[in-house]
Amino acid sequence: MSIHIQNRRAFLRTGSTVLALPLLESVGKANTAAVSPKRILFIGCGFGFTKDTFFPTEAGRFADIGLTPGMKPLERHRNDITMVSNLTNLGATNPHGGSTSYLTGANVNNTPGKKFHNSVSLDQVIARKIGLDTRFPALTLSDTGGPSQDGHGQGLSLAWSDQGHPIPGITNPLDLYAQLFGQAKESPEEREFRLAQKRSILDGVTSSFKSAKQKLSRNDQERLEDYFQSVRQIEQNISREVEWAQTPKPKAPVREPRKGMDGLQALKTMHQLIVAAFQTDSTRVITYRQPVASVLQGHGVNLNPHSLSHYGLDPKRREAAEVKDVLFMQLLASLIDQFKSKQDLNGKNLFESSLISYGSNIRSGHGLRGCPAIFAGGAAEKVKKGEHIILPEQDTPLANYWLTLLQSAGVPLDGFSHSTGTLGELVI
Amino acid sequence: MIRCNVTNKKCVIRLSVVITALVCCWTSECLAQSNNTSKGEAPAKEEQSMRLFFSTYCARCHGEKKQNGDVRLDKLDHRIANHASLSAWQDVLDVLNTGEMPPEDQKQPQKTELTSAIGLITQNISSAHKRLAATGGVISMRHLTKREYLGSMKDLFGDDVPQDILPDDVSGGFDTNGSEQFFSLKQYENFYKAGNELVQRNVHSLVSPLARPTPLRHDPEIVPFESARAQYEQMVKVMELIDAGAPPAEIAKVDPKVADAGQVRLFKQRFEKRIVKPKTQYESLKGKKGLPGGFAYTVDVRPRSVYSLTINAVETKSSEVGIRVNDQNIGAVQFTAGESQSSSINIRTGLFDTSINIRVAGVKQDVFDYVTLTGPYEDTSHVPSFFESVISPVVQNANASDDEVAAMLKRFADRAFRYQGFDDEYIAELANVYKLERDSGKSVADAVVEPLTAIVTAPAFLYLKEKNEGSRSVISQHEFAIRVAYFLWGSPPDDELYALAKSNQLYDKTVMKAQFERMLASPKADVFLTDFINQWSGISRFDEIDLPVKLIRSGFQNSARQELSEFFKVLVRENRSLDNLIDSDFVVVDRQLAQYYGFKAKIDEGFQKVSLPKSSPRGGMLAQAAFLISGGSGPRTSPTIRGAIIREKFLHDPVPPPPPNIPAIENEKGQKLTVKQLVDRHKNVAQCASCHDKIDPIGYGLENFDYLGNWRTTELAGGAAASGAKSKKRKGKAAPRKAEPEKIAIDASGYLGDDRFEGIEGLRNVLAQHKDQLAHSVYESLLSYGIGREIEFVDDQDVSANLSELKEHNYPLKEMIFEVITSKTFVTK
Repeated sequence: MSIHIQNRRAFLRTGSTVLALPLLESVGKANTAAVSPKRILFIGCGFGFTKDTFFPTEAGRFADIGLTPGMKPLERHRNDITMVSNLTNLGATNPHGGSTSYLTGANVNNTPGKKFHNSVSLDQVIARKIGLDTRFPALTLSDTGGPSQDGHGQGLSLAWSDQGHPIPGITNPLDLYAQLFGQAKESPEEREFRLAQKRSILDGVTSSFKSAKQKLSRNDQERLEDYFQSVRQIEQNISREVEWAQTPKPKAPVREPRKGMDGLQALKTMHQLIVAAFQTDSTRVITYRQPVASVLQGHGVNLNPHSLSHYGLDPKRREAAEVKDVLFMQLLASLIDQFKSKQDLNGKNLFESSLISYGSNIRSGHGLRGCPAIFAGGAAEKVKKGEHIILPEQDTPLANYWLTLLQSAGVPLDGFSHSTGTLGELVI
Repeated sequence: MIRCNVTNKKCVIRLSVVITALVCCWTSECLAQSNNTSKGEAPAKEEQSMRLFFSTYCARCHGEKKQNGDVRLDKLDHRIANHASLSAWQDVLDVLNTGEMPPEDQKQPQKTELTSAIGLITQNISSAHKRLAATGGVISMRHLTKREYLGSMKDLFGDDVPQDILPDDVSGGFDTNGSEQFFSLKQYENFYKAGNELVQRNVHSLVSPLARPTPLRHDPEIVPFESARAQYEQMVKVMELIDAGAPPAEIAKVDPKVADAGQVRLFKQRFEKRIVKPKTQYESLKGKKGLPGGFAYTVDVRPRSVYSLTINAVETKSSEVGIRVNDQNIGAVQFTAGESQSSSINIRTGLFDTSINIRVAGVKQDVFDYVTLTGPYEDTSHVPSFFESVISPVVQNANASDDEVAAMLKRFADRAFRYQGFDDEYIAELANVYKLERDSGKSVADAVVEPLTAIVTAPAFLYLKEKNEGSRSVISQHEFAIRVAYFLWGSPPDDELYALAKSNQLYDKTVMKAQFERMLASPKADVFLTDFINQWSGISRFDEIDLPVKLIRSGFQNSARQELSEFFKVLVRENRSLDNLIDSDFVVVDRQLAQYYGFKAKIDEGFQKVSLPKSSPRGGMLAQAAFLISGGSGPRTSPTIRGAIIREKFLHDPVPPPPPNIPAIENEKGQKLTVKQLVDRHKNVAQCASCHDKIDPIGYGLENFDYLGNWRTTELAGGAAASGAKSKKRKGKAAPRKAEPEKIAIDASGYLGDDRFEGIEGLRNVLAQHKDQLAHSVYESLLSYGIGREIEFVDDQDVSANLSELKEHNYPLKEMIFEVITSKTFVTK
């Protein structure tokens, strides 16, 4: 019934500041109890899936109910994956925007005086809790597609800052490799010099605008703050580099990707590098807004993802849409394979110490209700595995799902976005 | 639409008085604008029909007596004054769209009733969104767009800056809209990288010594000869080894592709046939002087220098041989046919040219022996840039004092910051950076790089600063000069504009008119004309369409992408009417496009105006290939996309975003439908029809153009539609029987509201009747692009006053742009 959406919409908050402030307090309190670190990966897939051939209709263990044709590639992992039905991202309104508020839960069109306003994303929130002991608190990976192309909607990645601004992601494997494993060529003295040089440039930056700043409107001063913030971030990053200078970057467990990779090949390589990043404990939080159109092109599907999402018009489109579903599930299955075959630095199986979440705001076509939600991995403890769970209530808030998953992975989180509680149905 | 007419009239009268006045200053005119506007509220008639719908189908359960699910609809705010009522309306729309309400066991509305109710609510919600997002005309400070950054850098450093120095901007609306810009660390890094590279290259070009000119010879036949020889000799050697019975491992050392017995056998089998080509090529070039036909080669050069290229020909048929450097035509060398001779041309290298590609265009009958590139020489025609004049004396003096350096930094920062001033402290901080660099052992030239980079990455350079102390007010003339220069040129003001602003003359309409003419005539205005019309039309969609390889290779893709902007440049510079966007009796095309459209006219290099033959369907924007192709979906047309663009751009009535959760349309198997019949299925579902009825029928008028923009009178129904996945043939299973596509005559009839029309001519007539809306769309977009914010209800008065002036002259485009820059809104922050 619709009443659920309606009553819950009243709870929705759209501004970011209210949420951001209390969370900021936890900055700097390192999670020292990282005896067995947990790693979390969020994958956003853009447009949804084919209605009849992807979504299971029956609840129960996959071993009993079997996998739908669309999910068939996950067969070998059927006892390790969980799918949850009847979830809806209450903030989402754009049927072409599978990722804009996927990890924020905000209704981006509901702030007075603003055409668009998002709030902080889940990965950024948890990075402050579990990302303090690694070289990168969180890694943001993304596609290069335009706002309408892959069904992700507005934004640059799944990640959004405290101010609700889009965080750009790393889009190509070579850059990600350099970020993770590229060895710095500078000596400690050179690095110190660079830090000093940047600091004095940054001092200058403020005074270049100082005389005028008083005359700027408050709104403009806030905009300028974005600039100063990013400049301060540079200083913080170099300081962090200095801090990490004693710890050389890990040796890459994978080969350096070749230049100019794209499409399917690039996606597969990004997956390898995600695994490598976790394996070397370079970070514990990764988001990846996956490319769709470029991957499909490399797979001989010449329709754009939007056309595919409207597969009902034409049997050829439907066929292609089904091919798409299977392809992306194959990719997920082989990503899980890689997690299962690797160990982390503590010698623990990587799959056992990780949580992989896969989904979108969009179910199928223009439908936002009952969004696809799949997770796997041992980091989520005491929750059901190998099952399709149909929640009793339609339009159960997606934020409740996030809360349940993260709490099961031991992340100290009391609430997020429009959450109203945890989902008992998932818990063993 | 009802607007406060009284004030409106007053405005118009005042304006016309102003124009006749000797010294007129438009900025003082009625800045105080009333917020009294009725746009966006549901007009009474529509509200009544909504209330009737609710009372008929909803009141039993959601009315005064009963409020199932706590929902009460008789008290809904039909004006949607805040987000709470917006949410309530959204909920109503959601349940109507999903078909959940009214419940199955209750009285159901007719399809037409439902369609119109959904259409009304959608429209109201959409305009409420716009109204509630309004800022009351606040312009958010913004940073330079990529286009403006390149223009600003060129102003400082003098050279064209390559496009790829910065990544492209990502934006939803116009890229100048400050409230939609977000500045991130990534962007700072991009600006830093670009700025640092430019400063470094410029400083180096000033201090790197000019080596003694040396000739560098290139023989065009050498590369093909050497490769033919290598191939020939390798094959012969492999064959010798095979004949001698050598083991494959040994043969593989000569040719890795011949590494096992099978490959040896294959090689032997094919040898006779395969040796022919390298052998003849090798023998024909052996000992020969020169190579017939044109050729190209790449050679390292020194940036910002002059080289002399001498071409030695064995024999030439052409009297003129064109020379291209980095794919740009730089001129031709002259020959008199027949004899062995040589001819020279000068090549100027740019700041970014560390190597250049030289192409000598020739026909088959021309035989070129060799070319010599001699240089580098000093480029004596080079006009020193601002940067050079300021920096050169300092960096060329190894003992420059700290004071001299500080003075140089100040001069550079002054101009870079558009003479808007900065704290004295700033130069001291930069001097510190310089000192740090010097102390680390760098030369003067190397040590100025960081502080100069700091200037071009400072917010005072990257942000367009306009002061504001609370309420909306007229910007200073200096700020106006900057605003208008970035609008019309995409770069900062020049000395003349700065001087006029300083002497307070820019708000004089006569003075400004002369400046406007001067600015628009400058090549710098090309950037504005191109970028504006491309953003207005949303042509970037064209880039996402997969074209057949043939069209990409032939250069069609680039030509088609440029057609609209080349057309628009002509419209504006010749002050032609806006009508031309709907239909024109000429087109602006290059050779590629003329051929594509089937024109016989002879076209020189580049774009030119061509009168249309009477029979041609082209003319205006709607018959341009890029627009038509943008409105495609896979290998078929999409009347929906074409119609939506026309609705938004030409009728100034953007389509609301598609609603979530509506049922998808399913097609029955085996039906042979035309595109129009397929799209018409939207009509069957009220939820779809509510919007699509206003979109699709417009697009039908263009159905005579196929998805590649070619004219057609028939289409293949059911067959040509959307080729999806490459169907894999499964063994053992019979391939599904496919219906043969059927050739059906095109039906290009459509309608807009109550106006029915036939084909593109009919569509044009209807659009011409609505040209006020097109004028509104273009005018508002120009204004929005120019001031960097969305146009809101607060601007209505100013906009409509100016439009009614323009209407009297049938909307001439150049005048329209002048009206924009001299409007009250344009000079207000």
